Amino acid sequence: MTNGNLIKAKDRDMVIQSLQAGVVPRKGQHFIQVGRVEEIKAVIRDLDRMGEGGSAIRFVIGEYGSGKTFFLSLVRSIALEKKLVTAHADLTPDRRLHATGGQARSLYAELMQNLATRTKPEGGALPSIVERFVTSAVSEGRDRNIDPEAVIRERLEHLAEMVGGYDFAEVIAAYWKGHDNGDESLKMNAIRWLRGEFTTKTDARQALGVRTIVDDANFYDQLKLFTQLIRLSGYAGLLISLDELVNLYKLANTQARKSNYEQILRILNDCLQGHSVGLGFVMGGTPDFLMDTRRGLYSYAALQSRLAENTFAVNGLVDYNNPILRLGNLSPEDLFVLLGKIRHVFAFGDRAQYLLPDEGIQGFMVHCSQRIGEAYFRTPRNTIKAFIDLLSVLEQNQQVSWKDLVVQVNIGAESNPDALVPQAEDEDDLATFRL
Amino acid sequence: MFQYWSGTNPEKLGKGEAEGLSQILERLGYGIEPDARLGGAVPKLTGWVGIFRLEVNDLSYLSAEYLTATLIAHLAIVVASGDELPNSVEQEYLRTYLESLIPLTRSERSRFQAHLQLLLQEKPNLRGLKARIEAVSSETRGAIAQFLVNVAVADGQASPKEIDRLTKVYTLLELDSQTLYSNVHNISANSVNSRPAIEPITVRAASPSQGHRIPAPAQNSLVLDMSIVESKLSESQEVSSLLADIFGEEPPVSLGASPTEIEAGIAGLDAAHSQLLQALAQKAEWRRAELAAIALALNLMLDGALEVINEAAFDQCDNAVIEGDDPFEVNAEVLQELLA
Repeated sequence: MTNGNLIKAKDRDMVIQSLQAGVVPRKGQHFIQVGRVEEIKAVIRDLDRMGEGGSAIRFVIGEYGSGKTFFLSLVRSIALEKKLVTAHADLTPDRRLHATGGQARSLYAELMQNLATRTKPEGGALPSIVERFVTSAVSEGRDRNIDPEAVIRERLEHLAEMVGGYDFAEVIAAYWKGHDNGDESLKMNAIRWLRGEFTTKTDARQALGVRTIVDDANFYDQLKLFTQLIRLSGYAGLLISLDELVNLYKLANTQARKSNYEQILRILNDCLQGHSVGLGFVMGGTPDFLMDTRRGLYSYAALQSRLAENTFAVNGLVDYNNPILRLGNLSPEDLFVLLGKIRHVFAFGDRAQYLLPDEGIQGFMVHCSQRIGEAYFRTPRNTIKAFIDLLSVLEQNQQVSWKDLVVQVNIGAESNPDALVPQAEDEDDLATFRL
Repeated sequence: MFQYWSGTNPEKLGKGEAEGLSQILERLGYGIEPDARLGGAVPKLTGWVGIFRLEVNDLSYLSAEYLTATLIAHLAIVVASGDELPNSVEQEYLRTYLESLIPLTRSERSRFQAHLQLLLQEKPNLRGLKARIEAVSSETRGAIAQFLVNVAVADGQASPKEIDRLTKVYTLLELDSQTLYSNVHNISANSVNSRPAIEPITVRAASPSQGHRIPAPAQNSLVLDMSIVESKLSESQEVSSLLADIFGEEPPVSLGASPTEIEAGIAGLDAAHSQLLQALAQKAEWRRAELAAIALALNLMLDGALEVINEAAFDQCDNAVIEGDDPFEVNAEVLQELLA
């Protein structure tokens, strides 16, 4: 299935445990990726272009259960390997691209919280990045026999032309001063400022002597500034991954929705025109978020024309350069391959350790389809959980035959949380086993 | 022709006149569309009519299939037109697949072609279709909707205008707009999946419109198409090797580093970072304060320095050399490899 290499216990456990908990694994997604080779190639091209100082934007459109979140997470992992810094966040009613009540700042704060590098894939890499920048300035200062602060200001000089660039440079310099004078609270304040945790300008002025803070109006400009810092620190660029864009579509207020789409347009324009050097976006959303001509992205005329898919891509010809990447739903065949891969990972990549044969997987799928119908492959999360549960039981009870177990799998259908209609509260997402 | 046939009203034929015209044409071996005898509208003298050669005797009535087919054609043209007429790809799709969706008799077929031409001339809208849609069963409506989406996507994309019209048509067909989005999405996404040899998109089989719907296969019979599984497997294999290149162990750094570099530092690090790395070897576990003190002595900032060191570790061993955050843990294996 995958190439004959064995899989490390650490990687295997991480994948299996995440899937069992119903979440996308943070590492090792490539062990269980099924198909989508062209989509992945397209994204890899994007990431390479970002590394060369370009920019990129992709809307990953798929229905509930089609694997958007998985795909976004895979993209992030690839980006980290390509020496990009990544930041991700789910949009929520309290975290938006445009707002006046602090929701955009709160999105920025979430992104900064989740800032990840290859060595810190779980997030929280902000201080490391800043220090890496400052450290290199210090060593340059030593080599040239000048004050490190002068080097910092020199390197950040061209940022002054960008919106908010002057204060940004001040904050970085403050971090160095704090370090130089052993003033931990000054360092902390600089980090807090960069994280978007200051809520009033007065506080920021007292703490750091700057007149601005990261707020709703300038958070995107701050991201651009931060991208420059990231590049100056020696990384290839910054990839921002935003999921659950459907939450913008769900905004009841027309004006609020429109302002958020305007922000998307601004980002899109910057990316397509190459104004944001080294900064890239991937955004995950549902088909209705894209196509609804009253409330979706298509309701905003300027976005409509930019997102229109290529007219020459007909009859199976595909233009993967379009910002829209559509992910189809999983077919039973996809699921079959996927379960096969999970079996492979579960067995540490050793075919001799497979706990059940191909017929076993089919038997399991037949059973699931009897229990919950089509939902078993349309919304595969529960199916995967149940399958791993089945494997665990088989592993611990070698005397039991898979044939007896498969029919006992208890699996429930899951509900689509993206639907506009509020869901009933009593959904039980558990897949359970009894021996 | 109308010049000779016009009666009292210079703009419009009377019903009797229209029927007479149809009869005369039939004797001459031609059919006319719309035909007043078959319940069609009375032709306007200023508008268009379709004339076609009759191959067999003309009909005395029109079948339900024919009426459905004209309804679909009507809707499809509205949907696919945007502002202009449907483009040639969409027209082609409409002609080719509508007949496979709904079987027509031979005489109806030529009449239908004339009707289609006429619709293309007239640029129809969505008014006055309610009664005709109500005559269609709800399963057929689903099939119609699916077909319309196929027509709209036939040229590679459903433009926002087409989506807009589809939304209206779906409402007319009493279908949910969510269904519309997933229909459009699935067709677009599947063409993107570009499974070779499964194109053009096959429209749902003809059965729904016949009124005798073949019952859907029982849910519990699961049939996997092994040829698809095979192609998925080979595609996944390609992905795996693509990703293995990215995630896999990178080839060891060339050993031919010049002596000066080795003196300068370990694993491509500068002197200060190398010293910190060597210091790490003293213990398996470190408190933040201890490390910070060492870093300070070396004129380094701890977090930044560890980031640099770990980056080097990743480059060489595909793993971090020090992990955690107060306490930090040193990965002895990686450290050995770096210091070697």
